[in-house]
Amino acid sequence: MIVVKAQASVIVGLIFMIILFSVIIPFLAFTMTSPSYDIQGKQYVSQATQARDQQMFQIESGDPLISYVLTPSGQDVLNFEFLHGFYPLQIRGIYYFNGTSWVPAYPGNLTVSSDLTIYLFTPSFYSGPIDIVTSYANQIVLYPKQFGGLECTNIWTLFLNNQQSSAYVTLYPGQNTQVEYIYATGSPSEQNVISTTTLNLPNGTEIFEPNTTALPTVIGSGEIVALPNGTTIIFPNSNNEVVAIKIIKDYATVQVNEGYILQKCLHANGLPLSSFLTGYQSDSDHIGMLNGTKYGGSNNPMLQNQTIIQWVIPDSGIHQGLDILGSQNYVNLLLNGIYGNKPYYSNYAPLGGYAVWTGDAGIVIGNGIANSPGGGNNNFYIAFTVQLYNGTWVTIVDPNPVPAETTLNGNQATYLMMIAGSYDNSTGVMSLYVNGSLVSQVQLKPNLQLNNSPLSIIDVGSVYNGSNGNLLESLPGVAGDVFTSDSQNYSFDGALGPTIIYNVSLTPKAISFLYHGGLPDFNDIKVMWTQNYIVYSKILRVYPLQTENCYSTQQPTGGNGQYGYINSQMVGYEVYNLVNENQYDAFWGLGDAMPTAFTPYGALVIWSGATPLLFNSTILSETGQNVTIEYQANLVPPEKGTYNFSFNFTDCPPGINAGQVVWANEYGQVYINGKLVFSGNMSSNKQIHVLYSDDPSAISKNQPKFDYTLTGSVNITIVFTFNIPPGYSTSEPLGIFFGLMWKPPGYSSFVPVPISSFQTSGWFV
Amino acid sequence: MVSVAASEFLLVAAALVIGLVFFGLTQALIIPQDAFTLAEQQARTLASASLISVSPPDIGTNGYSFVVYPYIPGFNGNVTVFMFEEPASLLPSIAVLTPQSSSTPFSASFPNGTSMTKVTVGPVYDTNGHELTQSITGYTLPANHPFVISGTIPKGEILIIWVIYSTGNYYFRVAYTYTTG
Repeated sequence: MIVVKAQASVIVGLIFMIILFSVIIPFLAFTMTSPSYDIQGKQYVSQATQARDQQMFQIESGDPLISYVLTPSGQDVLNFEFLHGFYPLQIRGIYYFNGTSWVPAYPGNLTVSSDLTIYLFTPSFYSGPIDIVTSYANQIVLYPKQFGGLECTNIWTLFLNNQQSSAYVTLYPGQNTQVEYIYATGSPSEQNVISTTTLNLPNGTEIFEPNTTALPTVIGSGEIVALPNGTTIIFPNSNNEVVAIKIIKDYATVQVNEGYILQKCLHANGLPLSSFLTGYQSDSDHIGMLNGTKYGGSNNPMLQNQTIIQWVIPDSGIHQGLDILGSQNYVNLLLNGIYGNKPYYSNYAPLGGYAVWTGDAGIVIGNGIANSPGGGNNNFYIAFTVQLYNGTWVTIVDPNPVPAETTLNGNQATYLMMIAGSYDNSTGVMSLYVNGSLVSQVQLKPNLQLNNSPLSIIDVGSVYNGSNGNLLESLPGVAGDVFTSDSQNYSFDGALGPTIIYNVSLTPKAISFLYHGGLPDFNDIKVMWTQNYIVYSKILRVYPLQTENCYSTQQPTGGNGQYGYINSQMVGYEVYNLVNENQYDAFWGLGDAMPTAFTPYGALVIWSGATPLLFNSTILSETGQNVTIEYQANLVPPEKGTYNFSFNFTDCPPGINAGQVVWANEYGQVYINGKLVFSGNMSSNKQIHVLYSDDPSAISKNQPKFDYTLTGSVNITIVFTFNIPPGYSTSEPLGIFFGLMWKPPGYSSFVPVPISSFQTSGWFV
Repeated sequence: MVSVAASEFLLVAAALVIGLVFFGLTQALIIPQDAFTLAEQQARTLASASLISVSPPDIGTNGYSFVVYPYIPGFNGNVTVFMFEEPASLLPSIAVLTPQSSSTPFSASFPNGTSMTKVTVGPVYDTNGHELTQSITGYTLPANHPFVISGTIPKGEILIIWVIYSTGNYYFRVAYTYTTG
């Protein structure tokens, strides 16, 4: 028994040792040597997240306040300003998008510990996003502050990289696909797809979709993407007479090899969006400020440095060739040769069609030269003129006339052009641009003052309503509320788009930026008239002349002296200055004719602020294709309060001879901070239907109105869709329009939301 | 007595042999597991502290372009990044989504244009030790360095970005995120 007990104790001891060595000691050794990762990890993530959030909180609180500014000279600048305390911000990188990829906008890291301004290494007039990557993995994306918003359309464009690139649409019979072929002439034909068919797409093909989100923003090489029912594919040139293909049942696919398909998006300067160019179809059409100098005030901005921008189509209705008459026997200085980069000095204002006049400078277009209208075979000469303080006129001319290559309302006309003239008082540099390109530039003596007379009325379309043949040493301008005929020697004929007047001399790059849809140096814009955003206003017999908005669907009657009347109330057609509606508003002149709004024939121009989008109206009509434009911006109210809004369809724009115009079908929705606040439409017979508004009476009365309380800036999205009714002929003017008006606190009537209240300036993470 | 001593000796010897066998077997099984567990816990530590941020996309001739910043505080080593696309409808299951292909459809480079080195890693585990995928080819770069990715994202799909950490010849996904076009 003793032996057994001894063996048992040995065995127990050995088992214990086995467990000790093989299990417990390794376990203890492992656990003792392993740190407590879970606890540490939680501490780390908590600290890292806290640090990241704290950094973002400080930036949101303005420490530092980061602003991204595009300077007037086209440089991108980042400003860091600490509002409360100095919390160093470590930046791991600053990047900009070069059109292909994000690339450094600043070399290396940067620690911002005090107020700082840095210049970025970006291309001149870069206005895209900047991405700031901070040390705690915050990414701050900034856009430069600009007026206007971002517009994306339901249109995609094909870009092929090279001649070996290809793109094709595949139609499948399996889904009973039906397509409609649209021909250059003749009726469209519907066809069932009976076998798999491949259609090659040439470079520049446009794909219209039912909405702005039907396809990815970009379709890259090798991707196969379904084109839904309702897709219209429009070829840049007709292919065996086929100009477009519309998928009317089921779907097809599209594929690109070595190329891409990109949604058409652009920066839009602001509202309204419209198809209207204002027609100046007689010598008596003009707009001008009310004459406010009878009891003080000025009739013009009294600018020294300035830049004038004017979108224009001159036509053969201009009855005056460009004349610059010298003092001796009124010799026409141009008859001895027209030269660029040469200042023409004269004692008299140049003769020609004054497209725009600021009070001491103007853009003048002559039909031919000298006193021979049409003598240049409708070659249009473009000039920029200023009047110096001593009364002398200095004019520069584009030596290359622009020929008439199309027609406008039966007249021979040029295509749409952007003309710019600038004067820099400090350097004496005077410049003339056509379509963004410098065509003539001279340098006068520095610090030559312009004739800053407050009497001359800022004007568009004409500057003198006296007798024909008079030579003028100074230009009076013509008030907008005057019932008058204008002098042929100083009157423009054709169509005018937006007018923009700066109080600075823009650089050539800034002009090019503007021509391509940008809006440089927006803080220095004094006037922006789109000329088609018109409201009736009462003109009160109180001097200085005061006005009061009123609403009417009636056409004012002319006559009765100087003004138009509605129900015995003197009214005018007020053209708002869309950067400041309280200053430099203009009025349409009432005369033998009044300005009419229409689109130039042969091409459909849709303006968004001063940015033109061109469409082929014939194809849009033949396909019945919807065009959708989604406009997004920050809406910045001047003050907090409840605002009444009016969504403007083309409901009876003043001055239009409605019998001439074909109206599009229009549909609009407005979202504020993602919430639908308005939905409605206007059919081509001008009947408005309000589908949604927070104002029940607006729905029951079909008045396109809604309310919103603004406590600060909000995101606003406007989705606007139009289509052209069938049977439209390009010989007819086409009316498409949307705008947004509001009644700010304290206002009794609607006024256009100024473009300065639509801004793109924001950051997101 | 002799027989008793001999039998005790035999018992001790047997116990030692059995113990050594047990010990050897235990160590053979536990040590590799310990190494994996150690690596997994290190990965979990990094994962817990990792942040990854992606810029909004911009659209250019090569499709979308994003700036990506993998932030792992206090870590100076290299990581591997891998991108793949999945239907957006699967987003709720993003933690367990795995690539269908071993190569990434997106290209990656440093912002200054320098190309990043491609590496093949795998198998890749999540920080719970589950194997996600066998072998994939991604891009390697130092942690805490911004980089740029570009490519196209088909409609209705999302781009998933993995950050993979290597330790002890094991590869762990320590951070992931997604973005859309």
